[in-house]
Amino acid sequence: MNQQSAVTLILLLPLFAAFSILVLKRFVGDFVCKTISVASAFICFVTSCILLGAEPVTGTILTFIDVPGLSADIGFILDQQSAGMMFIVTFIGLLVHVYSLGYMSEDESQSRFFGSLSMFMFSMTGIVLADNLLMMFVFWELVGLSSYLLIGHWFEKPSAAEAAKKAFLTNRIGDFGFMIGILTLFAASNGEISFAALKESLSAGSTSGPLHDAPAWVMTLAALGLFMGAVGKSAQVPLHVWLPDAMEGPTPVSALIHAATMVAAGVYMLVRVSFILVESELAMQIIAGIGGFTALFAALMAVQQNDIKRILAYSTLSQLGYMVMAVGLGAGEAGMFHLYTHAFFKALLFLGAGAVIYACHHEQDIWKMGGLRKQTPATFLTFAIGTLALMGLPGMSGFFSKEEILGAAHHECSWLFWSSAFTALLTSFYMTRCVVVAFFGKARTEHASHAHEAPMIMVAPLLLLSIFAIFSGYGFFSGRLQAMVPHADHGEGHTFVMAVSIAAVVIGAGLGFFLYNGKDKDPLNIKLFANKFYIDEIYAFIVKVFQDGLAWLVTGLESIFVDGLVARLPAAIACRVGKTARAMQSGQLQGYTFALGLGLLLAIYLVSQVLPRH
Amino acid sequence: MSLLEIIILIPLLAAALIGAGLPAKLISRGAALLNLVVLLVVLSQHAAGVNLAHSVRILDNPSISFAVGADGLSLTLALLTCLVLLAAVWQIIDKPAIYHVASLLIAGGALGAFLSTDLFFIYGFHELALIPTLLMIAVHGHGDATNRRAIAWKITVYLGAGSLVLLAGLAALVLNFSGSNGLTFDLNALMETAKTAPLAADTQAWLFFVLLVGFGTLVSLFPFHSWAAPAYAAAPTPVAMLHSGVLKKFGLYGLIKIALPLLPLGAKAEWVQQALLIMLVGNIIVIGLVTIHQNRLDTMLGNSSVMHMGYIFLGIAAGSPVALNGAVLLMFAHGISIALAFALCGKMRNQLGTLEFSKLGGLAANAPFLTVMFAFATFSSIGLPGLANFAGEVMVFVGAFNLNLNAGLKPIHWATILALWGVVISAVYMLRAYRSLFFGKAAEGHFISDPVGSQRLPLLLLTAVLLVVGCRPTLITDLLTFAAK
Amino acid sequence: MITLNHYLLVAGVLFAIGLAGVVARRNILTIFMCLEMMLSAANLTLVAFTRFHTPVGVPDYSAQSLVFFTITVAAAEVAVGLAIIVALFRARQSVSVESVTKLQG
Repeated sequence: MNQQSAVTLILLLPLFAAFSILVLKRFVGDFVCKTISVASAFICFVTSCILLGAEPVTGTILTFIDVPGLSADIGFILDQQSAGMMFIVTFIGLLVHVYSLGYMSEDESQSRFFGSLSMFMFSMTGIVLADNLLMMFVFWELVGLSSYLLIGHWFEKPSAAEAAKKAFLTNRIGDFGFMIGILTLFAASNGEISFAALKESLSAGSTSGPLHDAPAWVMTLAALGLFMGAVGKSAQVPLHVWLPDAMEGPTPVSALIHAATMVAAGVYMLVRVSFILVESELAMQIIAGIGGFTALFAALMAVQQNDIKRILAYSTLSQLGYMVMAVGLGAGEAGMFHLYTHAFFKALLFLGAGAVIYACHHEQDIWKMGGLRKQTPATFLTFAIGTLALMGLPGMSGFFSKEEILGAAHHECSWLFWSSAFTALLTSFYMTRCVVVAFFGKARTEHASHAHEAPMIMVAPLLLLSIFAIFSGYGFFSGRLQAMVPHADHGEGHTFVMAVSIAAVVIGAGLGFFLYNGKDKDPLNIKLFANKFYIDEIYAFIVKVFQDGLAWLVTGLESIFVDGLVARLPAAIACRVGKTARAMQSGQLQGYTFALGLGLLLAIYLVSQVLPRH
Repeated sequence: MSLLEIIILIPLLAAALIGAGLPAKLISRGAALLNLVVLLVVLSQHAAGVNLAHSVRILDNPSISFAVGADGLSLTLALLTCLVLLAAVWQIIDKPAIYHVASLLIAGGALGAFLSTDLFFIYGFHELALIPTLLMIAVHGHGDATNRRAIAWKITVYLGAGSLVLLAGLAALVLNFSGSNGLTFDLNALMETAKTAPLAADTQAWLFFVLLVGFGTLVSLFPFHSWAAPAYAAAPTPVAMLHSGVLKKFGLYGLIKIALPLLPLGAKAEWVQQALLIMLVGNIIVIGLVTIHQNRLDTMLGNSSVMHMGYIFLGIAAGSPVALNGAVLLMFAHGISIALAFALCGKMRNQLGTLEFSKLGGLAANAPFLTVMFAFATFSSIGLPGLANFAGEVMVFVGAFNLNLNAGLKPIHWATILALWGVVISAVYMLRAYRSLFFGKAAEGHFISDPVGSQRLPLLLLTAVLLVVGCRPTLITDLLTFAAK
Repeated sequence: MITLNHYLLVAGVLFAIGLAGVVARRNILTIFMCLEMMLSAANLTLVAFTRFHTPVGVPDYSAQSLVFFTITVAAAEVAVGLAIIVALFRARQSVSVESVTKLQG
C-alpha cells in the first residue's frame, strides 16, 4: 500500500479502536475490547516499521477548516523526524499495551483503560505526523484529554481525580501560550500555518516573505508562545507541578505517557519549529535557561523522594529539562537523540517499577522494600540496566545522548554546562539511592520478603526494552534510528566533557552507595527537597487568592455595580418616582380642591401676563 | 406556500393542537421530527441552488410583508433550532402539556425570526418567542414562588427594555434606508438602499451602537447580562435549553445579518470597536470569574452561557470572513452544547433535588452513561478539538488576531489574548464541576441512575451533532457565504 | 366716596374666606356653607359692576341678570349636594371629610 494510506491507517486505526470500545463496551466483554486495542497497537507498530526507511513525503488526510482566509487540513509529514518518533511511539505503545494485559488484569474497568490507551495512541500519532501548527494544536489538546482520562482512571480516588484535573489545567495554561504563538505567526506571515509555508515565508530568498521582514519582537513573541506550550506539555518549571501528581495513574500510563511519549511531545514540537525559535536570541536563551534550571531543580527534589514512582517522575522532569536545554542551545538534534534513548530507558524503569510495585503488593515506598535483588532477579537486572543508562554510564545509550547535550552546553554556555554536570551527579546519586534502598540489603517488611517475580507478560517487555536501553545509542544497532538523528558536531573539548560526565556518574554513584547501603531509614533529611520546594503549597495559595479570592471579589463588585447600576438602580428610581406620584392621589377632596385653586391661579397668570407678551 | 413557511408554521400549529387537547407528547415529538426532516430537505434544496424566498404582502404603506428567505446563516440557525427543539421536547417526561406548548411556541418564534426577511416579522417573531419563556419561568420555574416571580419580573422588564432600544434602532434603520418609495421593512430592499446611499460614518457609528446595545441586551452582553444567570437557573429545563441554546442567538444573528451589512462603517468606528472590545472582555473575564465563584451547577451553567457569548462578539468585532464564519459556527456549537448541558442538569435536578457541588460527589459510580454525556458537554464547552466549539473558537481567534503586527499590538490583539485566557477559565470551572459531581467518593444519600430507553436519544442526538460538526466543521461553514471585502 | 374698588375688595375678601374654609374645614356641611359664601362673593362682584359701570344714559343690566342664574344654580347644587352628604353619612356614619378617601391611589 502506498504511504498515504499507511499513514492514514496508523493515525485512524487507534481512533476507530477507541470509538468501538466506547460504543461496544456494554455489549461485549473485556476480552474483546482488550484484543481490539492491542491488535490496533500491533498493526500500527508494524506499519511504522515499514515506513521507517521511506522517502520523505507529505499529504492530506482530511480538510478541517476551509473558509476564505484560513485553510487548515489534517495532513501529515513523513520525514526523518516523524518516522523515527513514530517508531518510538508505536513500539513503546505496543510494549505498554502488552504489559498492561498483565498489570491491569484484575482491574474492574479494563475496557475503559484500553480504550483510553487507544485514544492516546491516536492523539500522539497526530502530533508526530502534524504538518501544520493548527493540526498539532488539535492533537496536542487531544493528548491532554487522553492523559486526563488515563491519570483519572481510578476516579473514585479523590487524589486521582484531582491529579487528572491538575494535569489538564496546567496543560491548558501552556496551550494558552501555544495558541498565542500560533496566532502571532499566522498574523505575521499573512495567513500561513503549515511548517513548510512558514519556513518559506521566513527564508531570505523567497520573493514574498512577510515573516522574514517581521520585527524582532514578533518572532520573540511567537517563539515564547510556542515554548509555553512545551513548558506545559513537557512539564518545565513553572508548569511542572502536574507530572509528579500524574503518578496517581496506573504505572503503564506513567511509562507510556509521562516518560516516553506525551511529555516528549513538547521537545518534539520545539525541534519541529526550531527554525522559528532560532530567529529570536532572547527566546533561545530563555529556553535554555528554563531547561537547565528544570533539570537541576527536579534533580534536587528527586534526592529526597520516597515513592519509587515519584523518584522516576522527577527524574523524567530532569531529563526533559536536558532536552529542552539542548534545543535552547541550538542542539536540537542532540535533544531528539536524548529523547529517543530516554524513551527506552525511562519506559523500562517505569515498567520495572510497576513490576516492583506488583511484586510488593502495591507498595510504592522504597523504604518499605529491600532485598528485592534476590527475590526478583529479572526485574532487578532490567531496572539496574535502566538505571545505568539513565545515569549515563559509558557504553550505555544514555551516555551518548547525555554527552551530546553536555558537549553542546560546554560549547555554548559555561554555567549551564556546570549546572548540567552537577545535575548528572545528582541523577547518579538519587538513582543509586533508589536501587540500593529498594533492591539491596534485607527486606524491611512482610510484603517485601514475600515478593515474587512478575508474570512473563510483564517481564518480556522489560527484557526487550533493556536491550534498547543499552544499544540504542550506537550507530550500528540503531542504523535505522541513527538515520533520524543527524550526529551533532564534536567540537574540541570533547574529551573534557567526557571526563566530567564520567566523573559525575562515578562520584554520584559512589556517594549514593556509600550513604545508603545497609541503612533502614534515610540519613539525609532535607525537608525542602522532600516537600518539592513547597511549590504546590505556593501555587495553592496563589490559586486561592488570585483565582478564588478574585472571583469572590469580582462577583461581589459585579453584583453591586453592574447589576446594581444597570438593573437595580433604574428599578429603584422607577419605584421611587411611582411612590411620589402616588402621593398626589391622596383621595382627600380638600387636597384636590387646593390643587384646583392653584391651577386656576396659574392659568390666570399665564393668560393675563405671559400670553399677551408673546 | 414555501417550505420555509411550513417550517415556521408546524410548531405553531402543533402548539395550537396541543392547546385544543390532543396528546401532548405525541404531537410535540412528531412535530419536532417533521420539522427536522423538512429542514433537511430545505438544506438539500439550498445546496442545489433552489431559491426558496416567498412573500405575502400584508401592508402597503409602510411596506410590510410576511417574507421568508434562506441564506446559509439563517439555515444554520434554523437547523440549530430544530435540533434543540427535538431534544427539548423529547426529554420532557411527566410534565403538564404547557411545557410542550411553550417549547413549540418558543421554537416557532425562533424559526420565524431566523427565516423571515422582513424586519417587522423578524422582531415580532422574536417577541412571540420570548413570551412563553417569561411565563414559564414565572409559573413553572424552580425555587420558591416569590423568588421565581422576582426573577421573571427582572427578565421581563430587562428584555423588554432591551427590545425597546432595539426597536428604536430598527425604526431608525427603516427610516434611513427606505429609499424613495415610502417606508419599507423588507430587509433586501433596505440593503439595496444602504449600498447605494450609505449614511455618514458618524451616524452609522451611533446607530450601530444603539443596535449593539439593543441586540446585546438580548444576548446578555456585559454589562447588560444580569438577567441571564438567575433566569436559566430558575427556568424549567426545556425552556432553558431553548432560550440559552437558540433564542439567545437571535441578537447575534441580528447583528450579523442586519447591522453589519447595513452599517459597515459603524462597526469599524474606533470608539464603537473599543466599547465592544471592553464589553466582550467583560463578558469573558468578569463573568468567567463570577462563574468560578458559583457553587451550584445551574447557576454555573447560566453564567458560563453568558461568558461564551463574549467569543462570538469577538468574532463580530473583528468582522473578517474567518472571524464571522467562526462566530456563526460557535453560535451553532454553543447552542447544541449548552442545550446538552442543561438537559443533563435537568435530569440531575429531577433525581437529586440539589445541585450544589459541596453536597454531591461520586455520581459516576451509578450512572456511566450520564458521566460520558456530561464529559462530552464539558469538553465541548471548553473547546476541545473534535467537538464543535473548537473550530469556531479557533476561527474567531485567528480572525481577530489577524491584523498587521508591524505597528504593534492593537486593542483587538489584547482583547484576543484576554479572550484566550477565557479558555483556561472555562476549563477551571467546568472540570471542577465535573470532578465535584462525578468523581471522588459518593456523597451520602445522593445518587442518580442512567436514563433508560428512548430518554437516551435526545442526549445522544446532541452529542452526535457535536462530534460530527467537530470533526467536519466544513459542514456548517460551507453553507455560509461571508466573502472577503 | 365708596367706589367700585371697595365693593371688589369686600367681594375678594369674602371669596378668600370662603376658599379658606373649603380647603381647611373638616365638616362637610361647613365646607358647603363656605362654598355658598364663594358664590355670594361672585354675585356681589357682578352687582357691583352693574352699579358702577353704568354710563350716563341707558343702564346695562346684563351682569345683574347673571346673578339670578347663579342663585338658581346654587340652589340646585345645594339640593343635590345635601342629598349626597346624607347618603355619605348613612354609609360612613360621619360628616368629616377625612372619611371620604376611597379614591386614594
